[in-house]
Amino acid sequence: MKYAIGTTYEGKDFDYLQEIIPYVKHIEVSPDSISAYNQGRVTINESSLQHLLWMQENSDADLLLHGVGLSIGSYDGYSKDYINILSELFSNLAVKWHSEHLAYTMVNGENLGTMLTLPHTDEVITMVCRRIDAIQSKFKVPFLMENVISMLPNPDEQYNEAQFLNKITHLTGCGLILDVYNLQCDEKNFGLNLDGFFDELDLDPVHELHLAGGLYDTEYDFQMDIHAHLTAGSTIALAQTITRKQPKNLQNITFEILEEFIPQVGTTKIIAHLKLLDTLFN
Amino acid sequence: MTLSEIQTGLCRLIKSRPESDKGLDDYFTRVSRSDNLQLVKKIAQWWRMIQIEEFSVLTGNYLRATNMLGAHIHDFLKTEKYSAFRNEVGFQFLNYLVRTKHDRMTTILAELELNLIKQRLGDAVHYKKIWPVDPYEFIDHLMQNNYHAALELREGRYLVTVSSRFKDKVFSVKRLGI
Repeated sequence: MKYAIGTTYEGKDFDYLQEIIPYVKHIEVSPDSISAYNQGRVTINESSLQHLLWMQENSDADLLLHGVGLSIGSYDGYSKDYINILSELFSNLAVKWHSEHLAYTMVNGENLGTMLTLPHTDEVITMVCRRIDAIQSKFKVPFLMENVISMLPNPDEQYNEAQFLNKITHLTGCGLILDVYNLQCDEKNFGLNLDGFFDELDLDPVHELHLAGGLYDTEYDFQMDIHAHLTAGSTIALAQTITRKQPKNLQNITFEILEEFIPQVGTTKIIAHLKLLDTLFN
Repeated sequence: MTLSEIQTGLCRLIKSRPESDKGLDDYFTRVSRSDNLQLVKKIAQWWRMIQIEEFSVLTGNYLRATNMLGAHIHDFLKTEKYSAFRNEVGFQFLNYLVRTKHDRMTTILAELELNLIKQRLGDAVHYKKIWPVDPYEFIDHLMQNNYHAALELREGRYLVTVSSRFKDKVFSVKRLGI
């Protein structure tokens, strides 16, 4: 099985996009990071859109959209602004699939400033599945949900993480992104049993893996979901244990890095890393 | 506990707002005493700091130089309904600084920068303010991280104008008599 290796692009540094494009099979873009709020409405930045149009005209790389602002798990509704920018992107670009975090960032119209996991309950499963169904009817490409790291414990959970993901994918037919680094964070921070998780998780819906190297907070002894480094060897090894199980729909592996950290890491090292991942997974 | 109760309660804890009169449920008491909650607040503040410093370079530089950035962002996060979109957060933060009472230079600089950004985006702008120091020198010192010199500039009266009608300049300065 061959896997497409790709990375993230946040729509600002066109030179960076041009440098990395020969080494990737896909580019993952967050609609939130290429849009801005102007005069009462959110729209895609014209320059970012031009970068992506250039990419589609000048390379074979697929475009994957990966949002952070949908807030699919907010009890009071998900973001209509996010749906509007998705519509704008779909009308301008060819998108292989789109995805979001199985989480919430907004409550009662207020931004929490971070992303929190949802309680693993029937109430949440019913609500989220209804929303996934609506999104899948609106946009006719696969929609994937991604596991996020736990930050705060939830009360009264009825299902473990694998059961929760299985319920949602089985009820809606949506796909999954497995963020391998996030799983390691949960193992370190909350003692997630990875063997048990993989024994129970249905891997068939997994379309994409996310790899990253993150920051560690020494004050609170916490491995954070802030993508600042190249992927650690242990994260790559865990991803390889997943690919050895041969999930039947897994096609893409994305190395995620935040644009704020690209200058520190350096484009040369990022390109070497992408080549390494291509060698290891193909 | 329903999802609405969990999310509303956690939001209140993250925003450091006082609980209701009936007190906290055991679950929220545990969360409120946990390191994890402090970490969530720290991460929220860290992200907003990156976004705000990128959006408002002048004001961000000044607040960092005067050790006020963290405190102002903390208060902003606690009291304001801020956006999920980073450029809007920047606008909201500058407006917050202009609207609330701070030291003289924070308010005056935030208001100038707000108008400069609006002008750059093509919005209709007409700003006229008397500055107590030479704005060119003040901004120059700030951008060179020489904030002690910026704070020690000799006082005067400078009329600063930003207008969307300007074609060949960003803003104008006219030195006024004492």
